[in-house]
Amino acid sequence: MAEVSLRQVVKRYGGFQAVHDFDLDIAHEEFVVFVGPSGCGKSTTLRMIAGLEDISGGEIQIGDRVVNDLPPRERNISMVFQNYALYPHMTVRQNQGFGLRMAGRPKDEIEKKVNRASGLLGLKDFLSRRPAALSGGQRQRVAMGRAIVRDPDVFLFDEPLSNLDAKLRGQMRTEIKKLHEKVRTTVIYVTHDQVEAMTLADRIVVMRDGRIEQVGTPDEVFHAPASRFVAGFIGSPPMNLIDARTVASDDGVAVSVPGGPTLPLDQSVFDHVGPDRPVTLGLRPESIAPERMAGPMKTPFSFSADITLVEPLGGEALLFLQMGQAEVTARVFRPSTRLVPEKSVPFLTDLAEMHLFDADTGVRLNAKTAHES
Amino acid sequence: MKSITGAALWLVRLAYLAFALFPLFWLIRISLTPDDLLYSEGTTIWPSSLTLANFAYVIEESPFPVFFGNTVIVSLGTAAAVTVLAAGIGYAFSRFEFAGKRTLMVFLVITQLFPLVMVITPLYQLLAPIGLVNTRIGLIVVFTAFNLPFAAFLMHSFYEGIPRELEQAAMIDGCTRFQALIRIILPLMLPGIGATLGFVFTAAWSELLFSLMLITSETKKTFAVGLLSFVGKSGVDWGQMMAAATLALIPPAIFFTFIQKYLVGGLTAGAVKA
Repeated sequence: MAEVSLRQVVKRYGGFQAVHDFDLDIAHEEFVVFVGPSGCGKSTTLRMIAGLEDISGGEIQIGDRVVNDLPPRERNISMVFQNYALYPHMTVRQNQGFGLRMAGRPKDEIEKKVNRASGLLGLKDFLSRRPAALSGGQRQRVAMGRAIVRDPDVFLFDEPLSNLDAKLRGQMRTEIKKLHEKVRTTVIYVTHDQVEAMTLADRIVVMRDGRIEQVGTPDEVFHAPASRFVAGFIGSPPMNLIDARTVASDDGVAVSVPGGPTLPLDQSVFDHVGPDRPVTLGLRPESIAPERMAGPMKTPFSFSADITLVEPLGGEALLFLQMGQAEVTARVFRPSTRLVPEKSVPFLTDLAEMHLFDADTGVRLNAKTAHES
Repeated sequence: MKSITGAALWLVRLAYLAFALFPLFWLIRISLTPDDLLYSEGTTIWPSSLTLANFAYVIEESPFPVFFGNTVIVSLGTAAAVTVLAAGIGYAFSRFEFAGKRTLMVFLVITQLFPLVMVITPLYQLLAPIGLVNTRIGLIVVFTAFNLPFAAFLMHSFYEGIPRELEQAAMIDGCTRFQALIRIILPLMLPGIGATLGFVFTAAWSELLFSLMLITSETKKTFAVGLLSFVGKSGVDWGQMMAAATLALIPPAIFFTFIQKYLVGGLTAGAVKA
C-alpha cells in the first residue's frame, strides 16, 4: 500500500520560489498526472518526491513514512526519465536487473523478474542488446521495464513520451495505460501535453507558476475548469475565451459580447453575478455549431456570425467565425455539407455549457454544477 | 567532378602526412647513418650504408638507460597522480554547487597564463628546504602541479558529456552517490581518463625546463636532460643523439597504442536521446 501525500511542500532556489505550498493526497494505485506549461514546477515537484531535489519546506509522505530526508534509494520508488537515462555500457537485461542487483537479490529471482517485465513490454528479443542498438520506442520500453522490475511503491514518470514522434507517442500512451491495468501501482506522471493528461489520468493536477490551479478528474477539469487558465489549457482546440461584460436584462442578468450577441445567464447558475461587471466568457468549440448541423443542445441560443475560415480535418471541421469583435473557433463533427466562408450564418451554442470567469482574477464564476459536486 | 575533389583531398592528406612524418623519418635516418658518412655524403635522402652502432653505444655505454628509467618513473607517476586528482576535481566542478566554485575555476585558468620560466627560482627556493630538489618525487610533484589545472578542465568537460539523469537513475535504483560514480560514471569516463593519461604522460615525458633546473645528479636525470649530454665541447654527436631520441619515442608509442581504444568516443551513445 502506498499513498503519497504532500503537505505545504515548498521549493526555493535562492530568492526564486519554484513551488508554493503544494498540498495533495494521492490514493493507493491512483494514476495522477501533473500537467502545465514548462516552468510551472511540475517536474520540480516530481523530483522532490523522488528525492532528487531537496524540499525547502513542508512534508512528503510515501506510505506511512515521512521521506523528507531519505535519499532516493530508500524511498522505494522508480522513475522513468524523459531522455530514458539507460546505462549505455549495460545490456537491456543488465539495465533492467541493475536495481535488484544493487539490492543484493538472488540471481534466479532477478532472472525471473526481468523475464516477466520483458514479456510484458515485448523486449524478449532484445535482452542482450545495448541501448545504442535500440530504437527510441524500444529504449523507452527498457526504461519502463527497469522501473517495473523493482516492484516499487510508486512509479514516477517525467515527461516520458516527449522525445518520441507523434505516432509512437500515441502507441506508448496506450501501452502505459494498459501497463497500469496490469501492474497496479501508484503512478505520478508529469507532462505538458494535455491529451496525455486527459487520456491517462484518474486525476489531473493542473499547475501554473508553482501553484496548483485545479485538481480533478479529467471530466471535472474539462467540464468545470476552476480558472480561465485551466479552461484555456485543457482541451484541443482550446476553449474560446471572450472578453465580455455583464448587463442588466429583462429577466435578470445577461452577458454581452462587444459588437456581438448578448447571451442570457441562467439565474440558477449565476445568481451571484451582478450586472456591469467585466467577465471572460468561455465557450468550448464543441458547443458551437451552425444551426443546420447542430446536435441536440440543452439550452440552445441562436446568433448570427460570419464564417471567415474553414479547416476541414476529415471526420470533423474547424470553423473560424467572427462573433462581434472576437474570433471564435467552432468544431463540427461529421459536417453534413461542405462548409465554406460565408456571411451571416445562423449559429447555435449551448448556454448550459457556458463558462464565466472573473476578468481580473480569472476565477470561475459558475455555481457548482453536476460535474463539480 | 567528384573524383577530382576526391583526388585533391587525398593530395592534401598526403602533403600533411609528409609534413608531419618527415622529421620522424629524418630522426631515424640520421640515427642509422655511420658517423663518417654524416658529413661526407651531405644531405641525401638515404645514406649509402647503415649502422646500428649509435644504438649500441646509447644502450650499452651511455648512461641513457638510467635516464630512460627515471623518465618512465616520473612520467607514469605524474600521469597517475594528475589523472586521479583531476577525476575528483572535474567531478566536483561538474556535479556540485558550492561557494566560490566560479572563482576557483577562474583561478585555475589564470594559473595557465604565466610563462613557466617565471616561477623557476621561487619554485627552487620552495622545494630546496623540504629536500625535494634533485629528486624524482620532486619532479612528480612539480609536474603534477603544472598539469593539474588543464587536466581538471579536460575531465570536467568529459563529465559534462555524461547526462546527470544516469546518476539519478542509479541513485533511484539503489546506489549511493559513490556507488553511482563507480558503477555508472566511471565506465563511461574511460575515454576521458585515457585522454588525460595520454596528455599528461606525453607532457611529462618530454619536459625539459624544470628537469634541467631541478635535477643535478647524473643518476636522477631524465632523458630530455640526458640528450643534452650528447652536446659536447668539441661538437654535437648527432648520430648518438638521434638514436637516443628514437628510443625515447618508443614508450609514448606503446602507451598510446594501449590507451587508444579508450580515446575513441561514442561510448555513451544510446544512453539518452541524442
